[in-house]
Amino acid sequence: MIKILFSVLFVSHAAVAAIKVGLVLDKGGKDDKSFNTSAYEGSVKAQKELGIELKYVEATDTNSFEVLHRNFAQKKYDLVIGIGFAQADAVKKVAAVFPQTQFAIVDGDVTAPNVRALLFEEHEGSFLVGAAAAMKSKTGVVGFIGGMDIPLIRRFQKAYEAGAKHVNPKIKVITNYIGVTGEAWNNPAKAKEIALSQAGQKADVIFHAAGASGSGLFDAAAEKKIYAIGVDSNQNWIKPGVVLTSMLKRVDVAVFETIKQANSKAFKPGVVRFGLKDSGVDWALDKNNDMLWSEPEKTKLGEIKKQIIAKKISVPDYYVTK
Amino acid sequence: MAYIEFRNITKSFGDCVACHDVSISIAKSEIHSIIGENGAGKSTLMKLLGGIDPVTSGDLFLNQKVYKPESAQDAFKNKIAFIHQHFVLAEQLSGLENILLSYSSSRFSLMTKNSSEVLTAANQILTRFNWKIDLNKLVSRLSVGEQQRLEILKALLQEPDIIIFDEPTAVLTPQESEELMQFILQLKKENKTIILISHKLNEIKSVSDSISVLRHGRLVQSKPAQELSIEQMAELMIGRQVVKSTALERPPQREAMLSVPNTSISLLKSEIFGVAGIEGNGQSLLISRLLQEMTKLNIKYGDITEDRIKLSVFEGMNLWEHMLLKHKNEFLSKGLIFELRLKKVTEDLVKSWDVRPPDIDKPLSEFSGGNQQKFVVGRELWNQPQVLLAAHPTRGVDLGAQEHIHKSLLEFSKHKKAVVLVSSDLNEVLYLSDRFVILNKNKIYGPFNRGELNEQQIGLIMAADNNEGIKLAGEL
Amino acid sequence: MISSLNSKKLAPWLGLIAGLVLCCLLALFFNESPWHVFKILTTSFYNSKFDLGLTLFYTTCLIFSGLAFAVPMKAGLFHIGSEGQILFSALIAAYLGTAIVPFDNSFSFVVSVAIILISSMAAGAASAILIAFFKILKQAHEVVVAIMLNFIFAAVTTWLTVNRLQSPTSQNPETALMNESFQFLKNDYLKTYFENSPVSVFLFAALGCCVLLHYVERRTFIGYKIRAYGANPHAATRLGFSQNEILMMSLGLAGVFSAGVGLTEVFGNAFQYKIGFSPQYGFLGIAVSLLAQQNFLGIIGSAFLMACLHKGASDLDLETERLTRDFSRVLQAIIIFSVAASYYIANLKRKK
Repeated sequence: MIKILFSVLFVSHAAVAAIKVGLVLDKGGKDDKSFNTSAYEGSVKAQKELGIELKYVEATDTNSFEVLHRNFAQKKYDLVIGIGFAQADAVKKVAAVFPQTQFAIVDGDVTAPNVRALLFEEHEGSFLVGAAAAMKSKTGVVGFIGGMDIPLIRRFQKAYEAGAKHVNPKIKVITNYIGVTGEAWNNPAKAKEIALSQAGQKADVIFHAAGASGSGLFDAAAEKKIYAIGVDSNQNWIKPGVVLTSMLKRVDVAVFETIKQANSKAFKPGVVRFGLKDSGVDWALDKNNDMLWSEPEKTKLGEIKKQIIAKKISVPDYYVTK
Repeated sequence: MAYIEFRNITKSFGDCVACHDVSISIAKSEIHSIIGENGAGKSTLMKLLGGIDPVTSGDLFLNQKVYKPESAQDAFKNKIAFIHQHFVLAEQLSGLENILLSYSSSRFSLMTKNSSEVLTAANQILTRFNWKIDLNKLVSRLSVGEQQRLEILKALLQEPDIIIFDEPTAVLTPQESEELMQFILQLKKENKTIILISHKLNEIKSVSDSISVLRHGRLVQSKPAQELSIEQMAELMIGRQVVKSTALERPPQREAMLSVPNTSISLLKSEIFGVAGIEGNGQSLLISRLLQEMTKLNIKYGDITEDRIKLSVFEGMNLWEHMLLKHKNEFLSKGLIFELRLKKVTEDLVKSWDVRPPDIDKPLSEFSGGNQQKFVVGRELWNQPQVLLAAHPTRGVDLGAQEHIHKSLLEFSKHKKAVVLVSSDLNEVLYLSDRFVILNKNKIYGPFNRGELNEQQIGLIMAADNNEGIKLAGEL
Repeated sequence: MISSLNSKKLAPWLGLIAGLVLCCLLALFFNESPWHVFKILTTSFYNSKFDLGLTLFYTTCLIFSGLAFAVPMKAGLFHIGSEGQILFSALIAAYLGTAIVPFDNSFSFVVSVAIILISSMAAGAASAILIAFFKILKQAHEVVVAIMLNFIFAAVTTWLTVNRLQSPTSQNPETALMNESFQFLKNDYLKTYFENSPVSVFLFAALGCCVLLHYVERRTFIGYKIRAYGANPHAATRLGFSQNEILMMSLGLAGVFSAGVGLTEVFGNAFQYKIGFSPQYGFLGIAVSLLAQQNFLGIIGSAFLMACLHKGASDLDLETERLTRDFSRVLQAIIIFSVAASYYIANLKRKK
């Protein structure tokens, strides 16, 4: 009897301590193998390790973001996290209506007393993998495949080119985009076609920033025996020996850290930028691609990384310079 | 002893009873004709036999056994062949290919027959009846008569015992009709049982062994053919005596009203101008020339089109809507439709033309063919046009309505109006026209005056390959 | 006659109920309470004023896109090009909203607004009339042309947005906000009442269009002409109706209604053009129109139904443990399917 009472007390105590977190994913959904997946994984980790109560939803269209954020706030969720730049307006609006609720947004630049904006310096990481690509290219030609031609992807592209030129000023960078509609993020066949055509133009390392379409690139790279570079999460495991490295964008870490802060009542509003310095973006090195890299190469990349952090190399940022 | 027997057959579609308690028995290897006005239930009855529609109540017997077909395939297996009024042919395929198509009886089968085998069998039948059809020609290039023969050939290849002909001569020239009747007699000699549906009482009288007359879905008479005269048949069909109208006396001097460009044809006031010829010999071209010319000269015209279903009936639109579409200016005030007047006028029209059922809110497409045609003719004459273009005005129309339409055309032409009568029914052209032309392969022969040529001469001009020496009015 | 009329009117409602019941039963497989699912599906559209406002916003867009399909359908054309026209007309409105700066007087302001509205509608109409042109000049089938044009307009609008009209202050692929003075619908009474939801006066415009079209169809000759052409093009031409005129008119009108969707978004909601703003209104509109059997007043009802379902889809995701967005799409499909099937069954009965 006492045992039961005890356990009830204990459980209810734990339930009181845990916060409620609502996660609003972008239209791509939690299985996009890119940043939605990454955000989802970060929050699931928090659920397991911190015992928080988690509820995630996937938006149906641009106008539903607002209603989802509103509903979470109305249901007295403690923390609501929006994933993706498209939710910036919705978060801005809803955060003003519910000042008691804490909000976080990934990739959206929102300043408000109860909003934490998690931004990533994608250009730093892209510069680094650009340099990596140039180091590994024998033909002096590398490729870039973007999903849709939008500013965010331009940011990847521009820094990637600069990184490649940093290592080899004479290098040629071929750039292609997959499509003009949202379909572009989910069109592996087209990605493969583009990759094959870039390979035909002698490109031997190709970097993609195209969400779920990227798998097409990996297929093509394996077929043509060239290298591919993954994006967002660590994609090295997909085709070991073919995927040279991945440009990591640690949305999962950012989401996890934010939940952890909120859970320990230490939520800090304001804009946070994740870059190379705090490993918010990085290049991925693990057992799946270690054999592709010699020690001197690793050192050289580490050098470049250090120089970027120390701002000795200036990485062009499309958001600033366009 | 009855070979085919309809016993107390009733067939209804919803509330509408198409056949009511019909009992007919047909002996083996006889030619049995079924006659009746449009909507009398002839085709319905045959569709029951052909397995196309199910019986509502009553029984069918075939060779003393209950016969309950569930589909056309069932009828087919029981050796019943159905030659439809509207041909069931794929126009973009050759004759042989059409025949092969009819063999693929199962939905999933590919070609089940060897084409050379079928060709030999087909040629045997062709020689047996002394027919000439090029089976490699596309169906769309065959003449109407040839298409019909192809249909019959298709049916004969299945070696049927019973053959149903639904209005087979409606589209044929007199010569072709005559040949068809000979052919039917020959089939009878080969022990086939023939059921013939027709309007043309002369033909029926000449070939039938026995005749059944239907009226409003009921059987009114079923007798051996020799016991019925043509006059009796007509009377039984419409339930009263037929009084044929007679052609009118015309004033000797008539002024011209319209001439057809590039031809020497000009229409006169107060005349019916006939256009004879087998269908597809330039009728449509001639009609469109006339329409263009009348539109150009702003002549008010009525237009009874050559293909009612395709050119006059709007699916899903009711009678008063059809009225509006034709005579819009009469019912519009300030751009809005004057509905009360429109409905009143349509109701009057339906009454005076005895369109049945007199329901002006019912879609025209749901009326029977004859009633559709009555409505269309009435509508086209309603606003007193100067010229009436009447293409096959009595096609598919029963005797009573035919009489009404013919009278109206004659009456209309009295008042300094012109009627252009295009018809493949030669009797109709001869009977009504003051002058007429004959179309053959887009050439216009004539014009001839009333009585200038007899039926046989006209038939020759219609069908001949070469008409040298005949006066030519132009080419289309 | 009376009974068949009734069954035809009742059929879609029976279908709707059957669909809802099916959906709830399906939820059992996922260990969700059917009653809970039913409650969400039937009440999510008015949880709050904001929710109702959002549902009405979807309704507005779906009415317009439903009309864009229904009008050409009357003329027998299967018009699936609405999506492209929506994007194009929305972009034109958004661009003019940034490009035009009205002088500081009310006349100039009214003229500027009129220019924006009319240009956007003209852009929609022109892009739809392109389909008519191809049909008239090249006898190209409207479905094929429309599919191609949808893609072309998606490409053109995206390219223009990103490369020419990209908002300098935003990292999102969108145009700059319209001039402050054109955002007058932002704080109007309707928005305030519905707690700042996307709904706008365009709702009344959409309803007005339905009523007007219903009237035009029944009381003016133009309506009969288009319907007659749809029922039988050969016979209509024989009566002297001009095919070109009918094609251009019905498709042009469709383009104007597509522009209605674009304007509802740009002028009544976002005040800018955002890439990907449309959850394929153009295609949802086909379902809306078919559900209403092209009855212009019926479209109001079917658009509202679709809007509720669209709204309910994200709520199901939010309110239940196991039902995801994809499952709620399945539910949407089931409901549409059963309503459509009910028409079919009712018609079948009538024929027998």
